[in-house]
Amino acid sequence: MIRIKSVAFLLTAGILFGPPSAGGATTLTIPGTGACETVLKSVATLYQQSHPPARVVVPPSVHSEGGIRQVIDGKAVLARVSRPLTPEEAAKGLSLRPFARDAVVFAVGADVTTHSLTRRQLAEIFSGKIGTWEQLNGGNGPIRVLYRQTGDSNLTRLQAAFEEFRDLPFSPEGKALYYDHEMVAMLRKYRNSIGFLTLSTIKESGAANTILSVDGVAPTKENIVAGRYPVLTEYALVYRTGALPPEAGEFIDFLFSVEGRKALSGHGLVPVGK
Amino acid sequence: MRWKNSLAVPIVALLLVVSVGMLLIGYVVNDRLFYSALEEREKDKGNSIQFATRSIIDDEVRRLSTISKVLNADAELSTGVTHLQHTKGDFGPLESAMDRLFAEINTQVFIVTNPEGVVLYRANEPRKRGDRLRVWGFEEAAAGAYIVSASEGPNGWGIRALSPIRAGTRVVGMLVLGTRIDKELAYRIAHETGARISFANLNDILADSSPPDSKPRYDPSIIREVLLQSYPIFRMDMDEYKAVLYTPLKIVDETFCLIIETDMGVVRGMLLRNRLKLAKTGALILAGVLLLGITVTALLVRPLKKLERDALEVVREFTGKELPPGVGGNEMDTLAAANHRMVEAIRNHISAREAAETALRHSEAQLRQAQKIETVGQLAGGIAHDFNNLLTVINGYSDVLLHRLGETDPSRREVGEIRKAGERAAALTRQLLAFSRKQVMEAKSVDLNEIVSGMCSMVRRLIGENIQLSTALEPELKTIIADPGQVEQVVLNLSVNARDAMPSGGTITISTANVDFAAPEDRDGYTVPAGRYARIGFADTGCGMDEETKARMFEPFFTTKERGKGTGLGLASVYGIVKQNDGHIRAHSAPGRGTSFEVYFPAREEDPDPSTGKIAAPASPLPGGAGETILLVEDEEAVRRMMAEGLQRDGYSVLAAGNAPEAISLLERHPGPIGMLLTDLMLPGMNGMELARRLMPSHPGMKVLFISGYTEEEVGKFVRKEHGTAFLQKPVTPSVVSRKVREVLDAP
Repeated sequence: MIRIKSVAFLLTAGILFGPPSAGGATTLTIPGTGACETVLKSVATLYQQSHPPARVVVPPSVHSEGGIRQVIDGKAVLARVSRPLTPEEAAKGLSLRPFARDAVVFAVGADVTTHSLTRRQLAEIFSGKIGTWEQLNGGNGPIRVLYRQTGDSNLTRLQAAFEEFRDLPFSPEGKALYYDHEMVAMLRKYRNSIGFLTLSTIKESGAANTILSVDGVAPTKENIVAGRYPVLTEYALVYRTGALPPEAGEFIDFLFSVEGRKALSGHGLVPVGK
Repeated sequence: MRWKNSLAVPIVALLLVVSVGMLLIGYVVNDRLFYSALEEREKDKGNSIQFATRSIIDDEVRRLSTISKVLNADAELSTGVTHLQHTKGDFGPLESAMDRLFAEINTQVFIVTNPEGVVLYRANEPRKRGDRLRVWGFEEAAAGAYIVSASEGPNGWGIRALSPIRAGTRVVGMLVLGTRIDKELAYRIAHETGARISFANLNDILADSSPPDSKPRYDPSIIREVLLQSYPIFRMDMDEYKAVLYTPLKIVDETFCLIIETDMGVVRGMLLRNRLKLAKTGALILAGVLLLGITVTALLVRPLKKLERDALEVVREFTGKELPPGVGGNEMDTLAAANHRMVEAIRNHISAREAAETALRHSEAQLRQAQKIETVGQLAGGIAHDFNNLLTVINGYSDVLLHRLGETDPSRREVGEIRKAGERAAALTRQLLAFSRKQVMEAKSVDLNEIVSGMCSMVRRLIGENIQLSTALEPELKTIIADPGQVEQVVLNLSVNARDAMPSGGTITISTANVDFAAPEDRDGYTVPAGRYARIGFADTGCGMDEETKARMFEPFFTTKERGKGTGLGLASVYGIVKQNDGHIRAHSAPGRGTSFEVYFPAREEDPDPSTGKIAAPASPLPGGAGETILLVEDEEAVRRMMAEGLQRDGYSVLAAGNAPEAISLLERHPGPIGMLLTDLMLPGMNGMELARRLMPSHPGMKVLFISGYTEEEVGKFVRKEHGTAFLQKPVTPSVVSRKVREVLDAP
């Protein structure tokens, strides 16, 4: 028998469960995806202001699966996700509560001049078949491909929307990134780069990267609401069915309130009805 | 006691179990503490190595940056590249200059390209000149920026510092310095930290410090978790004695999973020593506990055994049973058993004593009653003796007077009344004597059935027509030794008693039975000793008796009948007779439920003698004397004279004396033969019996007739034994004396 002693511990600055705040209010921690991290942080700040002494912490990304795992393990009561539950996860008594819709967009580095690409072109860029921007009249030099690891929710949405991406081998010269903030940073750093991420993430980051139209459809709010833009993602909160504590319920209510929806819209999201 | 039955076994076992349990807990706690300390130590070690690795990588990045910045402004390099572009392919001067530079700075990667990325110089790899470099950041560097990146290139993963080579403000080329993230780097870190180092990404182990033939196998899911969750994971494998720390490591703009594996082989010895020490301590503790258990048991067992012995001693004292100690379990069990037996023995002893005390009190009551009756009996006997003498005189002279007075004499009627009263008084005296057991008893073998059967018609007349008589006689009834006349008196008295209890009629049942008591039979306040008996029972359906009456019923002169109707001597004389015949009597009665008497006579064991079994027939009238000389000795003068006169009247010659010496003197002076010595037994001085013994040897043909109103049992026995002697009980009349004298004289 192999006996493995294991301990997992955190080096990251914040512990997922913060200490209870003064005044006895319970701290609500919502771990999970990086895709809506910034938006939720902003909503949480608003909520705290209007609901003292409530405290809501939106820790750094551990991805959708990390958040879901914490809810399953009982380490968190709410998780933020950007993908649907797998059948296995749903079987563990979890509920999914979508609250906003976002677009998965393609963005390019500062030196890229193109504003629109077809899904075919995109597939060929990401597979490495098209290696330079010259080939697309989109600039000069090699195309720096930034992509996400297998299982990433944005990639999954992309694969779901574009058949061309389903079994796509990414360019061997491309860079696999694990976090949305890395994607933002790399798009800023590499001027010939192209990558994909959620619209709200790149907007929140303040980056000036060009966001491409796909097959001529730009990811405008109208196109998203209308469903014309082809790659959409949905943000949701996950919790254990029937085990939602009052502080979590209140936060959800706030998220779906006029104020909450306004905040979501303000971050470029399309709120989903309760 | 066998050791396995000893109390030591459970005590020692319990102590051992508790100790082993505590030792096990101690072992587990010790193990946990050991592992926890070990884990902490290994984790700290892993973290130190992680920081060291980060430091090495950071130093490397810094070194590359610094060198590239320095070289960036290097005039020789700028000149060389510019020159090369002008000479269109003459690499000679550049190459030799670069070789010198490379030798000085010692980086793994040293490349110089033109602004388009075409390689002009590549250290150690001259043949790759002319290739187009496709490294990340080239475009940015070509635009004038200074770029450091980490990425995968044709030669694997590496850190690259790109700096544009300028001629004035114009970028004329690119200097690329780099360090590969490869086995060499891993080995270098491993060498410095003493751990096994690997770099991994989601797809693979990219570089590791292990020998080529032992590619490490790490769990890809852990690597994935570390990379995607951004936290370190620590694992300890105690089978292989190794600790592995997986931690995310960011190198410039690329995240890797750094795997630090440390060897814990040294811990194996520590662990073994620790366990050995624990085992030694455990063995010592167990031995101590064993010793403690045995000592405690010994201390405990000694008083327990003493208690058991004491208890068994008590059992022995009370029951006489000698029980061995230590039977039936451990010391506690045997003590409990002994204690139980002791309690039982004491309880039985107390019960027996209480029973004995009750019996004693009962016996004392019986004795007191018997003594009372005895005292009254003696009193009655004494009075009866004197009465007899008086009545002998009264009745005797009444007879004499009646004999002298003619049939027409006017005084005859009065004398007749005196005579009748005298006879009634005599009958009363006999009853008294019967009660006081002073009656002369002539014991014979008696069949109670015969007596009852013979008396049935008389009893029926006695009890009258409104009372039924029934009998239940045991056909095989054993015979008894008793005076048949006395038994008849018992039957009569009890019948009369029953009759008087049933003034309005009822039933009298007379029964007989053989009774065999193995033990003294105690019932209704009467005790019948063990033995074989012939029992005669009288049961009536009369008014019964209350307790007070029952307690006093055998007392003489105690009667419940109205004054003048009863003498109070009926049951008293029955009691006396039964006692005189060695029998026992008891009564069972309750008011309104009738009364039953049971009389127990000792059964005769041998077959009855037919000759003695018959009741003597009443005596027939005998003729008077034929001049035989009778020596009459009687101290009461009146009686002596009355008897002398009677005998002389009946044809006897009488020599009368007042005491023994006078009689002896008379006899000595009398020349003729003496037919009979008729003497009172109780004489002043020499008594009648002594006188007879004195005279009999010198007068062999002389018959002896004792006469007395007061006869001791010994006298009765003597009378029966001595040949030629007879007895006559007072009060007597002259005719009775004459008849008895004739009977004795005629006897062979």
